[in-house]
Amino acid sequence: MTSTDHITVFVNNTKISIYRGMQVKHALISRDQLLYEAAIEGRLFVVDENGFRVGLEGALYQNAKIFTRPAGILQ
Amino acid sequence: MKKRLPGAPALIALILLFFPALLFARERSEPISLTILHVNDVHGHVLPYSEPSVNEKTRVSGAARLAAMIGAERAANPDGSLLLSAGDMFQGTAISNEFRGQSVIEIMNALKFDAMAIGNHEFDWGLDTLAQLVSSARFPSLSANIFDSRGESIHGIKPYVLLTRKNLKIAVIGATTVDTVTSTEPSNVAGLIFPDPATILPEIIKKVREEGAKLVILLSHLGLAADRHLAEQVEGIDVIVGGHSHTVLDDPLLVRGTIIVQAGYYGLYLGVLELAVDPSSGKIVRFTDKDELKPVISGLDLPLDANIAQIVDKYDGLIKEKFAAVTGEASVELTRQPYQESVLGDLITDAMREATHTQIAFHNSGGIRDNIPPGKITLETIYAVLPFDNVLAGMDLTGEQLMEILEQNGALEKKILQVSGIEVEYDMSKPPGSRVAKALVGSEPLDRQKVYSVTTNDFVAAGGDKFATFTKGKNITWGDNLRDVFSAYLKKHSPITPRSLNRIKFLN
Repeated sequence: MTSTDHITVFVNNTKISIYRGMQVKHALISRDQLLYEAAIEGRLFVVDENGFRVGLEGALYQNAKIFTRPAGILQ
Repeated sequence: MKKRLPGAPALIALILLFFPALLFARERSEPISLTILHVNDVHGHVLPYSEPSVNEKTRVSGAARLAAMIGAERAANPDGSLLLSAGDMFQGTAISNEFRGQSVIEIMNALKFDAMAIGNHEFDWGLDTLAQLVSSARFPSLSANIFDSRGESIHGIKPYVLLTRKNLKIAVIGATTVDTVTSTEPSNVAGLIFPDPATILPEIIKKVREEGAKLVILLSHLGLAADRHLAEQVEGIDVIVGGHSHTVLDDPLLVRGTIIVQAGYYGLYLGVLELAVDPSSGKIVRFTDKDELKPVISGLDLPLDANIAQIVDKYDGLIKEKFAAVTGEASVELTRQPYQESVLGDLITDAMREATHTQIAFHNSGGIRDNIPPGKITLETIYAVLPFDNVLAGMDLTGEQLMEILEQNGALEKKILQVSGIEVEYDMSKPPGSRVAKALVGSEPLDRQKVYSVTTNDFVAAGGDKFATFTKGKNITWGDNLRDVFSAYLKKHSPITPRSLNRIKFLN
């Protein structure tokens, strides 16, 4: 794998390698497709390392950390 | 004889001379109130929709509701409001995609946006369409870090704009993610360079300050992490209005004196940043530090902007016409099969390979959601067949990796990958992992040592359906939307006639 093709991100503290240009949804698929399916069905959402919610098509960057959370209600 | 006080007129004159100055000094020290309204990454979501992770019962987003909220905020501060977009406004929904963003531009023009940053997805339909969008916009499109090979800005995109509110000059500078180069079809950015904004901004900030700007806003399509980094690195940015990472930043961040905001994605929120600014120094003395985002809820009989609702309805009607338009013809039913080669699978993968000129293409059967009946093929049918917004992913894989993929395909643990450019025979009497009896690429046997060019979709490239080998490719390139590619293929090759299935054979 060339360094220009891939970045390292962390999903629920598990390190994974995804292609540069991939989004939050791809990181979920890569880590566990069930997470992705739960997210698109609305059973969970995703936050970044600061606890801010991010969309499934949000961009990722080297060493980004994302975490899944059970779904809630928009305030 | 009464003596007049000597110098009284002079005293009065002096008071009159000083009084306006004193009065002026009192006005000058009073902070002025500005309201920065912002959205980002709307991606064509002008119709309300259900966001299941938020609430299944309440529809959210929607341009008409958003417009009403913008109107209310503007009414509260009519001379002191700005309306900004941090980019990625167009690509993402049928009502925008099928009009190449013109529906969204019309709405943005009607809403009198003050500026928009260029996002990476603004390049998705190529440079000609981008140029059209920029020229259709009645607001400036901004990016300070996109240049052509001569070092010039492109297509009317400006690095910054100077706006005036309550006599205060405000610079709005645009910035686009450098990842644009690697996240879109290469031809869409051919010849363009995207330097690191940190190397460009100091000079621009100096320039706009020299031009009288008291407040500097960076309209950023860089992502929150990059925004924080910039705030730490670059002096003189008062506010960063961000996008790209789709971050729901409920409370603004303050990094080394720079306020950072971002309004989530898909028009779910309107950002409302209230600033109290000292007009003489430009210093922000107060700002919204909590609950800066207002949710856009469309489903609860809340007020809608009638003018914007009319524009949305117009395009909603037009998209229905587009969906009914004929895009091809099939002389027989084109069927899908989840666990064997299918006619639809062959067609879709052939379309992928024709678009990218790679040797091989793969598409997951699970992504083919309907058959195509015989007769005229409409856009609606294509959306039913390919409902997911997949994009093409090109990569190089070795013959060894391809063999892994083919063996996994033959294990039938998941719905199979449909193929083009490959013929494979499986001996099903053998155990999983040892079933490939024959594999040809073109007419040549698959060579484990060779490197092959492959196209798949982004879901499979991420390892979808457990095909993890695709995550280990080299030289990744991102391509067009799969649905667009398939639609163009059907148009070109219609009528689609019966074809034999000979790419994937299960024997014994």
